[in-house]
Amino acid sequence: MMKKTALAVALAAAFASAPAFAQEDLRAEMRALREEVQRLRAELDAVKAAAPAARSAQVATPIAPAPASAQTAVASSSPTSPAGATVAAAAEPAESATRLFGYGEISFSRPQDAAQAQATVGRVVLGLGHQFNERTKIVTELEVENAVVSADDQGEVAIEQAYVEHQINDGLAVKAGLYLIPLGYLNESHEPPNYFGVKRNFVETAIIPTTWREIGIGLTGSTDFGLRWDAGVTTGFDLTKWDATDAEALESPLGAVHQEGQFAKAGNLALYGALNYNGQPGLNVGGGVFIGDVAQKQPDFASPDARLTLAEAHARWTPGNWDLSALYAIGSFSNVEQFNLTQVGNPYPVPKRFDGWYAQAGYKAWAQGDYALLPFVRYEQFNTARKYDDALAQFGYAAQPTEAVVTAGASFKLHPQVVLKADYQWFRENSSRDMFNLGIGFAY
Amino acid sequence: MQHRWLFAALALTPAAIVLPVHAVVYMSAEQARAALFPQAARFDEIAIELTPAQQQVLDQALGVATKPRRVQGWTARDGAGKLIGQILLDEVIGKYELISYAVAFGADGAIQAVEVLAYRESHGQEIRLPAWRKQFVGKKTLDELRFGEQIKSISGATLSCRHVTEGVQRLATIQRTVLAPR
Repeated sequence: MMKKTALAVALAAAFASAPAFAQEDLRAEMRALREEVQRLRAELDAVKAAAPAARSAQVATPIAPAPASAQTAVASSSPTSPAGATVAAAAEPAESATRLFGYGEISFSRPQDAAQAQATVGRVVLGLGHQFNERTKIVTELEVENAVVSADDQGEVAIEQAYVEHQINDGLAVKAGLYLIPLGYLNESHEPPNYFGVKRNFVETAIIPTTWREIGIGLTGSTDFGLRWDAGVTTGFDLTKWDATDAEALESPLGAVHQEGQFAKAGNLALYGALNYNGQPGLNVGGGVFIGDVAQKQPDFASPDARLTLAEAHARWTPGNWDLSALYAIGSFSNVEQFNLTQVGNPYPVPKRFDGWYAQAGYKAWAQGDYALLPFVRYEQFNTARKYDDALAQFGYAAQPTEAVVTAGASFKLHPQVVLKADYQWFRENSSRDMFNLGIGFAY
Repeated sequence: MQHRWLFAALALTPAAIVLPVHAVVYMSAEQARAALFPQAARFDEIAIELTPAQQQVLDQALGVATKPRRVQGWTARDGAGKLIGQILLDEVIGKYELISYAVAFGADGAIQAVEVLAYRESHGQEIRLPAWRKQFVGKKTLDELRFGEQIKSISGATLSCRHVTEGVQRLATIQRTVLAPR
C-alpha cells in the first residue's frame, strides 16, 4: 500500500514540476513511471507471497554492523527496486526492524605488588533496538559487570539504557527514558574499540561518572552548518546517599551518589545542555553543563539546598594518521557546609570542587586491511577533592593532592571493532598504583 | 474550554509542524536523481547481478571478499542521448541501523555527489552535512577514498562514517570495473 502512496507522491511531484519539463521529457518520465508501477506491482506480489517465511527467518537473524561490503541487513536482503528502496524499507517496519548489538571488555592488570594482580570480564553488554516505524524506535542495553552476580559475588547487572526516541523532523529528535547524558567523549561512546587504553581515562570516570545515565526527557537537534545541541530534564544525584566513611566518595564523588534509574529520588530534577560542532570533518569541539539540586527534598538532610554543577569542554582533531584530543571537566557542590559539619571526624566530606583534564595523542603507525596498530600516550591530572568548605579547615580537613597519570601503550585492531590493548600507567602521587594492563575489547 | 487548552498545547508542540511522511527518509531515490542530474532528459534503469567473474574482479580490487549484491540505479542521458553520468543506490548498516544513500558519478567516472536518503541512528546525523559528503567529490579510485585519510570521520559516529565510506568504495569500484566498460 505504502509503495502506491510513494508512487502517488512521485507522480504528484512529477506533475507539480511539469512546467519545468519539456513535453517530451514529461512523456519519457511518464513511461518510466508506468514501467515502475508494473515492476512495483510484481515486486509487491512477490513480497506478499514471501512475507510469512521471510519474517520468521528475519526474527532469528541478528544484524551485526559488518563492513558495508558484507551487510546482511534484513530490510535490504530482498531485492528492492531502485525507486522504492528506502520508502519500501520504511513502509514495512516488521520484526525485521529489531537489531541486536553489544560490546564486551576483558582485562588483566598487574601492579608492582603481584598479590594485587587480577583479571576480570569487566563488562559484557547486550543491546536490543527496535525501529517501530521511520520515526520511532527504542534502544535497550543490559549490562553484566565482572562476570558473576549472586549474593556472594561482586558482579552487577544493570540496565544501561532503555529509551524511546522519536524523530520530530529532519533536524530534531526527542528522547525519553533511561539514557546516557551527553557530556564528554566517553559517556556516549564507551565501547572499548572507541577509546585508547585498557581502562577508561580517570577524568571521565572520577570527575564525569562513567556510563552515567539518568531517567528523563531530552531533545537533540542539529543545524545545517554542523552544530549539534542537546538539552533535557532528568533525574539527578542523591547526596543523601553520601557516605563520608567510604573511600568511593574520593574515587568518584558523583559515582558514589548516582542513582542509575533505580527508584531514583526525583524531588529535585536536573537540567543539562550540550553543544558540539562537527562542521569540519575530522574536527570536533564541544562542551556541556549538568546542573541540579541534590538533597532531593529529603526532610532530615542537613543541607536542603545542596546543589551540583558539572561542566566540561572538549576537542578532538584527527589530522592525517593522528588522533588528538583534550578534555577538561569541573564539578562543584554548593550549600553542603551544614551536612559536612554533621560528618566531622569522617575522612571523606563532600568536596566543594573536583576537577581534571587530559590530553591524549594516538597515531596510526601501521595498517593493512582490517589490521591497524595505534600507539598512544595520555597525560591526565585530576583531583576529586580540590577544595573543601572553609568551615572544615578548623577540623584539619585539607584539599587532596592532585594526581597526575601518564598512560602509554597501543591498540592493535584485528578489525575496526575488535581490539587488543596493552599499556602502562605511571602515577605521580601514588606510585604504588603504577601498573601494566592488557585488554581485549569488541563491539558489534 | 478544555478543547481550547488542547488546541493551545498542540500549537506549541513541535510535532504540530506539518511533517513529511517519513521524517528520517530525507529524499526518495527519484528526488535524488532529479537533484543530482537536473539536466538529464532520461534515466535508464540499472539493475544487474554481478557475474562470478565480475564479483571476483570487484573483490580483488577491494582486497576483501564481499557478499554478492544487486547493483541498482540509473544511467542519466541528455536529450541527444549522450551519457551524462550514473547514479547507484545502496544501503549499509551504520552502527546498527540502516543508512540509505545514493552516489552520482560523472561521465568520466569521478564521483559527483553522495546523497544520504535516509538515516536512522541516534548519533551521526552529521554525515548529511555537505562538508562531510564533499570529501568524496572528484574521487575515482580506492586510494583516493581511504577512510581516515581522504575521508575524515565524525567524532561519535565513526561506524556510520566508516561503513558509508566502505559502501562508496564498493560502488566506485563497481562503476569502474563493471559499468564503465559497458
